[in-house]
Order: sequence, then structure tokens, then C-alpha cells
Amino acid sequence: MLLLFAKFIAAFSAYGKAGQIGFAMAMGLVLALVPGGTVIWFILFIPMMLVRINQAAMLGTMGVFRLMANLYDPLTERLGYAVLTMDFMEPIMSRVLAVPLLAWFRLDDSFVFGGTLAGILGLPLWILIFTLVVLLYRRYMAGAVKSFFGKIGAGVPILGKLSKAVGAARRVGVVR
Amino acid sequence: MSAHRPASATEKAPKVKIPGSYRRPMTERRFRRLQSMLTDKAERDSMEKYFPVGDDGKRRYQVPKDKRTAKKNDTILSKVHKARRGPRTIRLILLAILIGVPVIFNAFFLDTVASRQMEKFLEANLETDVAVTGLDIRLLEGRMELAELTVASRRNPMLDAVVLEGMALDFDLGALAGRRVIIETLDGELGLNRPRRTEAVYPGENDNQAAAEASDSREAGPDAPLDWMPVPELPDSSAELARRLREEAEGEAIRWQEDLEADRTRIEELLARTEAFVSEPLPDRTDIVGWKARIDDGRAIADELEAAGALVAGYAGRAERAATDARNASERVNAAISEDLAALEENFVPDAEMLSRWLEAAIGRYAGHRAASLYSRVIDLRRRFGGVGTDDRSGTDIPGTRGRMRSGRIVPFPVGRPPRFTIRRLDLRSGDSRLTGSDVGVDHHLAGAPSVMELVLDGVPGVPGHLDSEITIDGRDTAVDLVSGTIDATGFPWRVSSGDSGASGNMDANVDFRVPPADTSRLEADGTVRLEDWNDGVGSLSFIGPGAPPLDFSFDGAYDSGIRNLRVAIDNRSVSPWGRVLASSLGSVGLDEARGRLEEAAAPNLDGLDAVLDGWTGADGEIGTLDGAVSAAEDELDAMLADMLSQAGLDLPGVSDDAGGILGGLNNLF
Repeated sequence: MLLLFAKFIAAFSAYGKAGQIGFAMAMGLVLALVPGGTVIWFILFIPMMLVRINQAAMLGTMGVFRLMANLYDPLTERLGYAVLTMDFMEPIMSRVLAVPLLAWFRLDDSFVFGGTLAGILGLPLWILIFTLVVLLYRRYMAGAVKSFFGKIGAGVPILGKLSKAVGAARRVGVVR
Repeated sequence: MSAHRPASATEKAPKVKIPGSYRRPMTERRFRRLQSMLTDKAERDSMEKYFPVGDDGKRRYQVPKDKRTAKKNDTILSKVHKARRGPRTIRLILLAILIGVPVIFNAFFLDTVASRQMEKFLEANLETDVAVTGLDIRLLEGRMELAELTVASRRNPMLDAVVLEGMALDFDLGALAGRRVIIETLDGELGLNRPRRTEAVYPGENDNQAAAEASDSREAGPDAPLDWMPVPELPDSSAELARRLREEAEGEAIRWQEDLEADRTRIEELLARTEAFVSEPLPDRTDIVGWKARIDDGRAIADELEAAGALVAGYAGRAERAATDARNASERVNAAISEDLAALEENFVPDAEMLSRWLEAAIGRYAGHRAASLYSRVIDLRRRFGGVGTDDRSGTDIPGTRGRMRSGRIVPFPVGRPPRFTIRRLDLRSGDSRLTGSDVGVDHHLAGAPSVMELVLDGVPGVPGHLDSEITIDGRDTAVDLVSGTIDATGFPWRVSSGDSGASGNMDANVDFRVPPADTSRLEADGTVRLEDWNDGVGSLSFIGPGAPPLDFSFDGAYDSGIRNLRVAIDNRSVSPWGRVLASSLGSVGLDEARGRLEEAAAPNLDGLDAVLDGWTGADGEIGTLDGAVSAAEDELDAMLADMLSQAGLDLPGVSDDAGGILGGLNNLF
């Protein structure tokens, strides 16, 4: 657990490009927006686990945003309903839903459709935002955070271990 | 075997670890693939140098002597390791476990899991004990078999309300690709109201509720009191007369009291003056003028007292006349009631409308309890299942779930797909009873056809009589009714009672019912019912006996939270045979009821007249007291004047000739 948390913090200042980390975090947000347990979610999740991606950043971001799901779920549901009920969607969805197996994607469900739409269509925006976040973090906060953990690590053993774990995670190349 | 061998036995190698996968011996082919990933010739040479070929033809890593070279090799190998292509083995294994475990679990334990889930689902929605045994799901064959499914009665824990045995179900695998469940055939043996071997265990928190509902159901039996009496059209002349006479009597009493109060003040002032006159000392015997004036004053007061006495006598007479009028009014009201009853008796003919009202009251009260329980249950189930026959769920939260939303609103699209759940052919049998259906399911809008079911119950324990019903559920936008159907029932016992009165018999019914799509909480029904085999008539229903003819009536009404707009019409053909019975029996019953209602209507006015009479009785005492006071004052004044005359002894020529009493006599003497 400690190592996982350390990996997430270390991901922000890992020796990877900010864009790569931003992409991983954006994918985490997409996986949070798409309702879990749906076919679409697994289709997005499984490749992300197979390709080279900063998984700590992805899983961490997904976990953080899932905690706030109650805030944005109604919004994505309304978005999905609004889009699905537009006139031009009728012929498109009629064709899509008629394709075998695609019905299991539950795209006629406003919640699933809205979450998927918000996640995938917003992906460039999410990447941009998270890249910016990582850059800003590295520029303004990374030193302060490291110093903070270093200081309190002396007084609180568990936080001292956390600080060491972050350093170790970066050194051994676990975090890329 | 370790690839991490030192260069010589005497020298200690530096502790720089390379990635684990390169510490093991590797084939020439793998080595060449790794080497080809490097672009720097120096690095390629270094790889060649520190991965020499062994006796077995495999290459093993030789740890360099100096730490710097070891670190350099580690950097090169780490770079190669990170740049390698292909899937990561460990991740693949983890993913395989993640996906494979549920698959294997379902493959081997699917029946158990499905049984448990089915029980939980049914128990949560039916709020009773459900047991599933012998479930065998064969996915590849598209077949499911179920040895037994029992649904316990919610009223009696030792009874199974529904038992399904030997159920076989064939479903369409191809439809699953479209996320549709199509059951081609569903066969099985259906049992109703079978005794259980063990007591039902109701699910968790619903124990108390189920028990309470069971208790309510038992209490709301057919013996519940009924306000069945007819309400005839009563003549209201007696009540009107009573009201008018009471108002007149009360008005006279009020006016008499107001007049008396006004005169009472003047009389009391006169009495006070008389008292003062009597108490005043007599003038000196030599004061002739004073004596004369005193006597004149006394005569004037005597005149006023006489007038006051006449006035009081007038009030007494007025009170007596008013009391007589009130007494006569009360008698007139009673006489009018008798006349109304006589007229009612002469004109009272029980008719179909009266009997209809009786039936409306009986149906409203008798069917109310059971209809309320049954229909609220249907509405509750509809809410739980998220709608019957419709695919549009507007709720954004699944009831009873916490945390994240599970689903949103389903937007229907014109897709040529079958409904989400369909049973193409349903056939459940139990002796002579059977439940059959075709295209039973939901999503009728997509299916393009409604669900049609036929239920025949005959000889089922706990279900007396024969019941044949056809139910259509149509969730399409263009549907006239969401639910509609007919019920044909024969030989069902009925009983109505009110206190010690009651009647029972058998009933045949033909009922059409429907639930309009605009208001799904509303149930509308109309039909015809025949009550026959009358018996057990007691009390005021004693006219109903085995010889009573059957009664056919039609009804229509609506039900949501209670029966509304219920209209009952007696079939004219039924009225004729009932004429004789009704005229002799229900007529007398109705007359008794009418008498009570007439007396009840006139009672407040009669009470008002009695109160007026009591008031006049009190007025007699009041008048007597006033009259006594005036008479006493007169007597006292007369006595005083007589005394004055006896003491005078001198001529008083100014005394009037018309002075009365002793004073008049003295005038002659003087």
C-alpha cells in the first residue's frame, strides 16, 4: 500500500516526459468516467494494462476520481441523454445497436454513453490539463513536497519510510 | 545455476545487479536479438565480451572486475530491457488471473451461483422465502433445467404459494449477441398453495412487515362489518315543518323575554318608589296641604301599581299561549313524521337503484381491503422491476443501492431487435390448471407485439371455483392500455355481513380490467357478477334464503389508492324475480331504516321545541315572582293609606271622589 502511494507521488517527478505521465493520468480519468463493470470499461482497461504506460499514474488518477464519482455521474448521465436524444443520433445508434455484440456495450444507456463520450472525446483536453499539472508540479511543488516529506520523515517514521520509498521507486526504475 | 559468477575465485566482484532475466543463460538467438537493439558499436562489443558462449552453446553473463564497467553494463542491459517489445509476462499472467478466475468460477460453480442469485433476487422482490433446487445451466446447449422452485406464502409460513417443478427452459444463444434473452419454451409443472415441510424464513427486515400484512389480511376477512343498508329517497316535509315550528317558537320566546326585561326595569323602579313612599314619615297633623298632597301621591302610585299588575298578568297570559303553541308544534311534528312514514309506506317500492347502492357499499367495503392489498402489491412490484413493458427508466438512482450510479436512462432506438426478455412459449401445468403464454416479456416497443398470457385455475388448493383469465401487457407507445384482460370466474364463494346480519353464496363473474398508460397507478374495471345460492341469511337479512333468486349486476369503477367512481347497475332481468322478495322483505327493512332516518332528521327540532317548553315552564315562576311583588306593594300601599285616613280626623275636601278603597269611604266621611 505504502509502495503504491509512493509510486503515485513519484510518478509526478519520474524520469518520463510530462506528456507521457499526462496521458497516463488522462487514461485514468477516462476509466473513472466510464462506468466500471461495463464492456467498454474492460476494453479500455485491458490494453492499458498491456502497453507501456505509467500505470501508477493511471491507477492513482482513476482511484482519486472514482472517489468523486457521485459529483460527475449525474452530469455525464445528462450529457449522454442529451446527445442520445438528438435527432441525428437515431440512424447512427440504430445501426450501431443492430450490430451483434455491440448491444453489450450498453450504448443506449445514457449513463454509459455519457461517461464514454465525456472520457474519450475529452481525452485531448484531459491530456493537456494533466500534462500542465505535471509540469507545474515539477516546477513549483516537487522540491517543496520532497522537502516536506524529508522534514516530517524525521519525526514520523512512517512518513520517513514513504519518503524513502518514493526515492527508491524512482531509483530502481519502477517508475518510468 | 547462477550466471553471476566472479571472474576469479580470489577477486571479489562488484555488487552491481543487472536485470534478472539476463542473469540466466540465454540462447544465441535471443542474445543476437538483444544485441540488435543496440546502435552503438562499443555497446555491442561490450555485450559480446561479457556474454561469452559456454560449453552448452548458451551465453552467460560474466561480471566485470571493475565497478564502473559493471555499472555501464547494467545501464546498457536496463536500456535494452526497457526497450524490449512484446507483452509483459507478469502482467499477462495477472490479467489472465483477473479474467480467468471469474470465468472458471462461473464454469464450475455457475449453477450454485445462479441459484443463489436467483433466490436473492426473487426474495428481494417478492419479500418472501424462495428456494431454488436442482438448477442446471447448460450454456452451450442453450438449456436450463430446474428441479424445483418454491415461493412461500406471505401469509402462511407453512404454505408454498407457488411451486414450479421439473421446469425446462430452452433459450436462444444467438439472441445473447444482441444482449437479448429469448426463451424459446418454458415448460413445467405448476403447483399452488402446497403445504411446506419446514416453516418459511422470510427475508430479513421484511419479517415484521409480512407478518403485519398477513395479520391485516386475516382481519380484513369477509366478516368485516359492512354498511350495506340502502338509503331511500326520504320525504322531508316533516323535517321541514319541525324546523319551521321550532324557529317560530324560539323566536316568540326570545321576543317575550326581551319585552319582559324592558318592563321589568320600570316595575322594579315603581316598587322602589312605593317602598320609599311607605317608608316616608307622615306630615304634621296640622299640615292639611301636606296631608292632601301625600294622599294624592299615594293614589297616583296605587294607579301605577294597578297598571303594572295588569301588565304582568298580560305577560303570564302570553307565556301560557306560547307554551301551548310549542306543545302543539311538537305534536304536529310527530304527526307529520307519521304522515311521512305512511306516505313512504304507501309509495316505497324497492328498485334496482336501491339495490345497486347496497351493492356499491358492499363492494366498496368488501373488495376494498383485498383490492387495496393486491393492487398496491402490483404497483410495488412494478416499481421494483422498473416498469412493466417499458424500456424508459427515468430514475437516475437504482433504489436500494449506494455509491456510484449503476445505470442511466435507456433511450429507445428503432432497432430490429427482439425484446430484452422474451418467452416465446410458456406452458406451466398443474392438473387441470395451467398458465400458458406467448411472446411473454418486456420491451414490447421493440418487439412490436404485446405479451399475452392465459391463466386457468381449477381445483387448486386455496383457490375455490374455476378461474380463466387472459392478460395482455403492452408497453408500446401506441398501446391503448398498458395492461388489459378479462377474468371469468365461476363458483367462487362470497359473504357479506354487518354485525349479526349476513348473507353468503356463490359467485360467477366476468370482469374486464385495464391499466391506462397515462396513469399506471390506476386500475379500471367493469364487468358483470352473478350472486347465487343465497344462504345463511340472519337478522335483518333474513329475507335472503336458499330460495332467493340469483342477482346479476354490472359495475364499473376505478382503483388507485381506493375504489373510486364505482357504479353498480342491476340487470333488469334480475329485478323481476326479486320484486316479490324485495317488496315484502327488503321493503320492511328499508322502512325501518327510513323511519329511523326520519326521526333522526326531526330529532334536533323536536329537542328544540322541548327546550322552548322547558323555558316557558321557567317563565311561569319568573312571572309569579314579579306578580307577587306588585301585589304585595299594592297591599302595603293600601294599608298605609287606610292608616292615614284613620289618623286624619279632619275634612279633606280636595280628596277626589273617585278615590278607591278605604280612601273613597273616608271621602264621604269627610
